Amino acid sequence: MRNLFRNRKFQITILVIVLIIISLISLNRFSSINLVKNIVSVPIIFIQKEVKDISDNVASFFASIRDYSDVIEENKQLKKEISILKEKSAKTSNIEEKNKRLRDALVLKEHFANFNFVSANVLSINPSNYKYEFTVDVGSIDNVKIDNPVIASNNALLGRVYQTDLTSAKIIPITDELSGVSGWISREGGGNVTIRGSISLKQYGLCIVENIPQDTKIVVGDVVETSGLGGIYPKGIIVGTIVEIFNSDSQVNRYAYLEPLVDMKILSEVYILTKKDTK
Amino acid sequence: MYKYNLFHYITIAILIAFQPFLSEWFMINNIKIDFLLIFIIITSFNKGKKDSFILILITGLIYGLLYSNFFSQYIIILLISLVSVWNISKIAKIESVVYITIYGVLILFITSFIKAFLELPINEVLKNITYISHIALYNGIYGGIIFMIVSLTLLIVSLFRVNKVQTRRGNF
Repeated sequence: MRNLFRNRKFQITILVIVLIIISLISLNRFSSINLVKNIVSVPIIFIQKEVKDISDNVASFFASIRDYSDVIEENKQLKKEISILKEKSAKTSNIEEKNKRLRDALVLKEHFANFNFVSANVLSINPSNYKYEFTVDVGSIDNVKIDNPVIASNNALLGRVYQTDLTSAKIIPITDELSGVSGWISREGGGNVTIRGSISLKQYGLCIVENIPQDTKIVVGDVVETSGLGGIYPKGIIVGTIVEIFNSDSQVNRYAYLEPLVDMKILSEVYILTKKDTK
Repeated sequence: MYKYNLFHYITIAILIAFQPFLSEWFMINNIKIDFLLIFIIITSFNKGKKDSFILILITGLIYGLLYSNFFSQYIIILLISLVSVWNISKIAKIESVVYITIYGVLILFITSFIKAFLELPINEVLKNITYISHIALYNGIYGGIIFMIVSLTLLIVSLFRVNKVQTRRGNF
């Protein structure tokens, strides 16, 4: 027996088994073993911020070289477009625009009256083919909690907080298969729908819309917002627009593809909605 | 047996730090290539088992802290790859272009599947098995091409060295 414990292969096998067990335990995001992560993740976040800055600079440098030839052509086209847009914008009165902006702001403030906005910078994106998680630079120290809703700078829904550490948090977008949002088709007589992420649609940046009521009219271009049901997302956050509608094989159920209003590829700053303390 | 040197450690550190950006920049057909895994597999050839084992544990741990859970699934992927490399090293050298390419495709294909099972809920994996197979297949093919290029380069370098030595001996 003593010889068995001295055996190098046996020792390595035991070590590997222990590691696999710890690894599998840590898969559970609520596992207390993940608390140990804070010891290393807190200082690493600062390093990661620097790495992100360097990588952004490198990326923009190479992008500028790569795109230089296209820039001249694009510039010509943009000038044309600008002149057309100028004509259009002149037709719209300034008062009308101002009025709309104020109304939007008022509605937004009313909707999120019970929430604090915590601004966060995106540090990294999980480089896996199957997962699309974001790491942001705010954590439980900033009162960020699991399942807090996350919106992008254009006030559209991005996703929710999936895991938190002291100084960082992981966010899963609405395109993730673990994500489910109760939505409302934003039109007269619109109905409640369920928006779900899918592994195969994730790469195209789309979600699937399910449980569309039979009597609800839905067309391509319809805007979908959160319904407030489900308890995670407050009512009235814009989710995206319908891009395709199709029937199930049995022609009984209707489904639709939804394109989120948030462009996940150019995210740099997000807002996490944390509930205000009501004493 | 060769040992890891500073070049390996620095490259691994760079790959860990820049993995999200590299995989995004070099994305082919919406498939992200795991350069870190490929580099570790290639450098593990003919290296000491203990050295490789420690390196993989540290790499997997840091990777997990940055992008995933504390003890990430990535350690399991790296360990599986390492065991495969140990077995391949017994029968083929890194310069054996055909062998290495075939094994590279197989390792990346299998690890891609395992990754799916570790990262996604089991019902989602079974529901999207066609899509996951598609990703695993392309991952294997793209990785295999990289393996082939590296292996071919090393073969040319070794042939060049042999020629040089023979020429020197001829001169003497």
